[in-house]
Amino acid sequence: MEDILRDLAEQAHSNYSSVLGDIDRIKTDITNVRQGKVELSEIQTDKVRLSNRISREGTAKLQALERINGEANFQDIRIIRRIVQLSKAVGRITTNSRLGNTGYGTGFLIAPNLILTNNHVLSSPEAASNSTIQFNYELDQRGNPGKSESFNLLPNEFFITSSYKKDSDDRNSGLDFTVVAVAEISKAGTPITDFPVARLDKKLGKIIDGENCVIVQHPKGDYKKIVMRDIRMLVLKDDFLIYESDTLPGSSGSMVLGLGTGEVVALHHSGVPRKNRHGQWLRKDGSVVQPGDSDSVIDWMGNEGIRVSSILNMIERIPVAKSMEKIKVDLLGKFRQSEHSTIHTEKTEGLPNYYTMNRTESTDLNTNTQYFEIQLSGVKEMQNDWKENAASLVSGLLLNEPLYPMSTEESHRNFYYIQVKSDKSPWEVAAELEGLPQIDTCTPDLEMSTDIRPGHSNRWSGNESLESLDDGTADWAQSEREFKIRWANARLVKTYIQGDKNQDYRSWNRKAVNMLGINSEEEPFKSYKENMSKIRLVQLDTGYTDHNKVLGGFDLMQDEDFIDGEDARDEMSVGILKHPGHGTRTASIIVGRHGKKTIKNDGNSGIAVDNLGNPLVKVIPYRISKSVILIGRGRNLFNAVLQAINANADIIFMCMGSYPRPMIYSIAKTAYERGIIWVCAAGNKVESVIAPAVYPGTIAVAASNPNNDIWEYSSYGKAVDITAPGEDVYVPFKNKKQEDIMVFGSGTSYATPHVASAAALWKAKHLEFLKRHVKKPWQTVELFRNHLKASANKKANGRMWDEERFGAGILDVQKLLEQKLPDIDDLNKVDKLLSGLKNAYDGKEKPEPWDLGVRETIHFLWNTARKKLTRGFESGIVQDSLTKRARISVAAMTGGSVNKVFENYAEFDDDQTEKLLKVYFESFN
Amino acid sequence: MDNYFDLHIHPVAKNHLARYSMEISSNGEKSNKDEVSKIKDIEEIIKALPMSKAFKDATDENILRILESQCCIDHLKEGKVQLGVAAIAALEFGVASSKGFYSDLLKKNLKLPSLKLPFSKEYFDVVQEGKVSYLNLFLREVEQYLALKQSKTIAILNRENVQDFNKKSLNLTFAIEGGHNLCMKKIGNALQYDDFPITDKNNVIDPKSIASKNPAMVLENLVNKFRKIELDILYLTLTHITHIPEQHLATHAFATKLLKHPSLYPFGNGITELGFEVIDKAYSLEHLYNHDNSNKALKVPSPVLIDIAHMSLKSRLDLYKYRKDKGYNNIPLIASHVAVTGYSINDWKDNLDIKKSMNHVDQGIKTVKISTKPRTAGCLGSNEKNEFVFNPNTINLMDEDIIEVVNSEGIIGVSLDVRILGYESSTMPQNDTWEFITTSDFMIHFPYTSLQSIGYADAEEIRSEEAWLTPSKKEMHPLSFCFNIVHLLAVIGLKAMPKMSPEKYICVGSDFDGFIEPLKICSDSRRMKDLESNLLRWLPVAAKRYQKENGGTDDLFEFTKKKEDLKKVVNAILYENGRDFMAKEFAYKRVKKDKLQPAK
Repeated sequence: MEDILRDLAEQAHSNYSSVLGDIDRIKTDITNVRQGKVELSEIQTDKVRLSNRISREGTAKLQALERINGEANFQDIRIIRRIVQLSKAVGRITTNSRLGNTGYGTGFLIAPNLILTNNHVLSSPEAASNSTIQFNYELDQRGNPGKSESFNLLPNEFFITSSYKKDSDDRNSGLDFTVVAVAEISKAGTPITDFPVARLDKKLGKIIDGENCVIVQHPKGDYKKIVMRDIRMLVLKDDFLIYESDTLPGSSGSMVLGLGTGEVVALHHSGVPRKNRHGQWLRKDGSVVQPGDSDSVIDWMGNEGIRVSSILNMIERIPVAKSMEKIKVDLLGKFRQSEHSTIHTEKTEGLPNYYTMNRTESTDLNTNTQYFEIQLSGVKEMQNDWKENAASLVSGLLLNEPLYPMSTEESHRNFYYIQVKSDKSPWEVAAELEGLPQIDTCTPDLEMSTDIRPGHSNRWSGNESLESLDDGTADWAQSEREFKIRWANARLVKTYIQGDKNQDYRSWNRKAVNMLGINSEEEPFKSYKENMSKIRLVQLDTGYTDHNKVLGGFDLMQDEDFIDGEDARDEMSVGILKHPGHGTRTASIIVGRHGKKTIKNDGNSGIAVDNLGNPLVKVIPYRISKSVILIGRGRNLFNAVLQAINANADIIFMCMGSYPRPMIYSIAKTAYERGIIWVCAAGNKVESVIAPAVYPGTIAVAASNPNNDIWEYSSYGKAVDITAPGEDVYVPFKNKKQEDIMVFGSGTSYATPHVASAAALWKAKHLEFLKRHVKKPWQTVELFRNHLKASANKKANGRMWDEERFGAGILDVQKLLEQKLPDIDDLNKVDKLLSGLKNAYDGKEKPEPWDLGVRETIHFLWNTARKKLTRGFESGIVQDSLTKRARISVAAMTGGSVNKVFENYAEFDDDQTEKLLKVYFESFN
Repeated sequence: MDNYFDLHIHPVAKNHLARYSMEISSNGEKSNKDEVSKIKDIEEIIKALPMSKAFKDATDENILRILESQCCIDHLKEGKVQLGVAAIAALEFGVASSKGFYSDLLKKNLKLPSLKLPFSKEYFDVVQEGKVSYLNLFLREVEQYLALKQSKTIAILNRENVQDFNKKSLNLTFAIEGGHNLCMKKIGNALQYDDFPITDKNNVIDPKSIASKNPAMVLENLVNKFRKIELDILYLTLTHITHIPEQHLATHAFATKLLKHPSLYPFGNGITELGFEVIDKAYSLEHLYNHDNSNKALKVPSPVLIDIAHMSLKSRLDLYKYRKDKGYNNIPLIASHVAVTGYSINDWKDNLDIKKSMNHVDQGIKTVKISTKPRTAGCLGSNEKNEFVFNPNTINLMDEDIIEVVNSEGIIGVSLDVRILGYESSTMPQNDTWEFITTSDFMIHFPYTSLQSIGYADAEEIRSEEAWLTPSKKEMHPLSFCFNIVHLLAVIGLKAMPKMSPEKYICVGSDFDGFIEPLKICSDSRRMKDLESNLLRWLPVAAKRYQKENGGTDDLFEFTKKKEDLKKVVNAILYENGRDFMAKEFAYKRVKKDKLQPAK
């Protein structure tokens, strides 16, 4: 790929050089125009083109000239609208080569069923069939990613190309374009006709020398950008259009528009590098470009696009298979018809009020900053040396700080966090860092996806529409109807459904965990009710909302945001990456109050509320994730838990997770050692328990359903401690009118807070005992775990409970609270009890030291696997390919050959993935 | 005047820090090398810390001012300080590990061993590496005082001799500065306890005998043992300048910009449960008192007082509420070495400069950096007005704090540290009036201010700062100190319910040798006389200027009008108030059982 781009740039350079004289002249002219010395129209040498351009204005010549000459500063708003509209035809092309590499390019719709891009992006039908085009991959007005739509390419239906290299034997070569058919329906079910078409116009006069160009593109696969700089067309050279350069070359396949007319003038294909006399490329600082230099270093003196008219002429010439003939005729026919270029605008409503300006600069600054957690050597001298001299050991080191700056504990002192500026892949940088004697391990802190896929009863099967989830709203009536049909014969709700007792079946989960016999106003509960207010219960989630169900249930004096650092309010952001209100729903299972007529179809109050429906404990929301799908960097989670420790939290609960990693293992162990009961979701749809649930110290929760059976998508394994209701639990949501409603939802997310509530009640009950007798804080966690398991309902589904996979049974709150501790003054018995407890980390002080290659593979597999499970999920976090080290390690672990295994995600099967993940995950248990 | 009183000094701190060493002998036993037993040792530790010429040459003048002895025993004696409270504070992890001047000096010493630092590298090492507990370090310092007592170099003021103390000697009693001194865990280590390997019959207490290792129990053991060996503890400062994660008692107020370490940021949201436990214990301590020389000794309430210095505003408010709830309000409060903001809490809130305030994230620690417009104390000069303002940082007292202390019959020691006394427009920049408070404290004080709206401190900038502030040549006019006293007088006279005349609640708590930048007019304990003459000269001016700026009736500062009245007030502030407070506090006879018994 690199070589192709280099070839292209070389060609572009020779084109550029051949018209250097013209370019110099026009550049001087442009300078004069910019300084106001001459008018744009006065510098034109091609009078025919100028007159074409004038006629395009469709108005009197004088007025037209005025407009053309004034365009850079005074632009009609209609042109901007047109450009914005046209930009919607532009999509991001993701290519997947046989080698498993992923590449990005840009392309745009030129007919309702055809897209145009470069030949060097899609060189063959084979390449096209492995690629997709994704529209609407852009940020909305608030800077949030929009809901993008991916379409498959169908080269069998239509494919026409002109190779990027001029071949003297092939007169149809050298224009570097490909036209390919695109599927009618996106992967999410949206028709392609929802996107406008940028019709190509063969006629001349769309742009004149020195006039401004606008480039619409996905630079390096990033969100869609419009380059709005003052970039002028320099000259036309045969089939090419040469224009001024921005700091970076445009993305291959970008749409080049004339600002004056708002029409497509070219298909971008290459930048023009500056060279020295010896033909060597130059950097911006004048030195010679070295292998490995990034594009941003190279001095681009111009850009080259392929003229639209040339492309159309070429299409006409290229013969196609019979089956494609009709499409070609249609395509050209349409072009012929279009006397005046018209933009296909079926959908005019919903035009954005304004668009995000080109944000390349800010992203450029950030793209090179990489984040790593490192574990230093245990040798003190090595640690001290690192502290003093890290900057001289690592080039581009931006930040070097201890992860536990206030601790002298041995297991804490070697953890550091660094930021490095580098153009290399993070795994390569990590490998280099691991080569230093001071460093034992170095793991990139990359954004990770979570396991928790949004789940609502009717949305787990593949065919359901995702609509109501995407805009953050749900349909109550349908939700309840489906619940009743589905669970008509279920153990816990059968009689309720038959008797139409909606309040009862909506709160089936309370019955499942045996809450019905507990009366908060009666002994023994009453006597420790007051202690509940002393319990500090921290929620690590997407933050809070003001949904009526949880109003007053959050402690908003202590909340923190570890994403933006604001308060922890969940912005209810919409879009595919943002799942609104997850934190609200999980918290409702603890503190959900009686809605008191503010909620339609209210029901199911929380586990830790009194008889009047008022919360007994407040949930302290820590926002660690903007979305349920993307958990962000591990450092956010790390900071949140450290903060919870510093704030003397009693219980943490977390209804999301990801793959295990050293720094999270360490902070989980630290929380355990501080006596914090950390309750975690076991995971959804993954065949092994995820992190942090998989760690020895945490309490892992699997999910059950109204029939007291295991929810089919619950993760399972030896690490699971307990099961609690998670499938079709009645939780708060919003309907399409943004009214507060309740719906049935599923996930181990909903099972987890049941256990967290139980932990709060349990700790409140035993507060005095624990305070007086527990010498090693972790004993609190083990006491709770023992009680939790001893009291679990093992006969819930009438069969032998599968303790190997789903913990001790289903949570039984009443029995849990009936578990007895020795008399508080019976020191002998207390001593015996406490000394009998086993620290969960005995013999597990350090997790398995997996090689960097394995850690890389796990990251790759996890994110890719999550992506596959989550339709429509697209993100920059998905990695292109594995490094060689990773491939070698995987080959070693699976017994395959290095070349064969894992070249491409599609090539390894799910079993293999799950097996590898499982081995890795369970090594942390 | 012949005698002075100081509520907060560190007489052996610097010598202790300099002499500290811990060696492991050939048989594997650890031994104290800085053990004070010989006459020669005693002669050494009462002297000003010697500093080599090489060190002085290599060190910034302002840092030297901080490091130089300010109140060694010799200085105290020379300055005629008759009564003093020696505060003991083990050096905290965050201070030892801080960026800024210590680490610079330590680095310099590595390159230039001939420097001979005035502090022992070994002390820094044991703290940085968590080899011992803070309690261990604390006890080592106590041993030095014990040696001084045994050699009769100093006298000890306690409950037995308070009516009849040695007027010819320096009389010291003690304070614990920072709850961290009560921690038995190894420094920075939440899991391991110090095993106190050095057992010596000279040890003040044997920590191994403490059954429960929590700070309340340590305090009880410590105080009981102190009293047995005729030492006493007047007060406990609940927090010091850093967060102690292994034993978090209360949120501290951001205190110093000379150092930089994450633990210097305030943490939490007021007093913790553990902190309240310590307070309960301190307030309910008793002492056996043989009131009529019969065999029947009585149990008399003799609490350790709580010092509000260094506590965050929220922690202070928590303390006042707790005292009220638990019926502790008649136990005197101490503000041992403080200055004032000049504001009531509401005034302070109104003067938050929201434009200069921002969210602040450093090393994963979230705080809010706030900036407050300082309150004008008064102006001097007519043409080019020189404006004096108070330091608005929340480490300083609000009017409410002053009232609480006074209504509890407590005492306020005004510090001589220029960093908290305020600013002067002509000579000192006011651009460092910012501080950090915790997010949750911010939300409690400013519930209607959106944190989202105030933006973020630049991450690059935070990273690049070596320390927040370098020591500056603060040439502070004596008026700044006087304005603090005048404001105290005004608040006590106008807002509180004093049982005595307002000045009776004020004394000096210099904080000498607590690594402060002292006022130039009184840079060490030898110069208390200079402080006196400056007060006589400037207190009336301050009173007048303060009134001109802030109003008040004519008779507010009546004492400034007559020279003999003024002298009396100055005398009271510099000596008598402290003496009288001690006499009252340490006198059992005064104690009526019903008065001090905390109502439960």
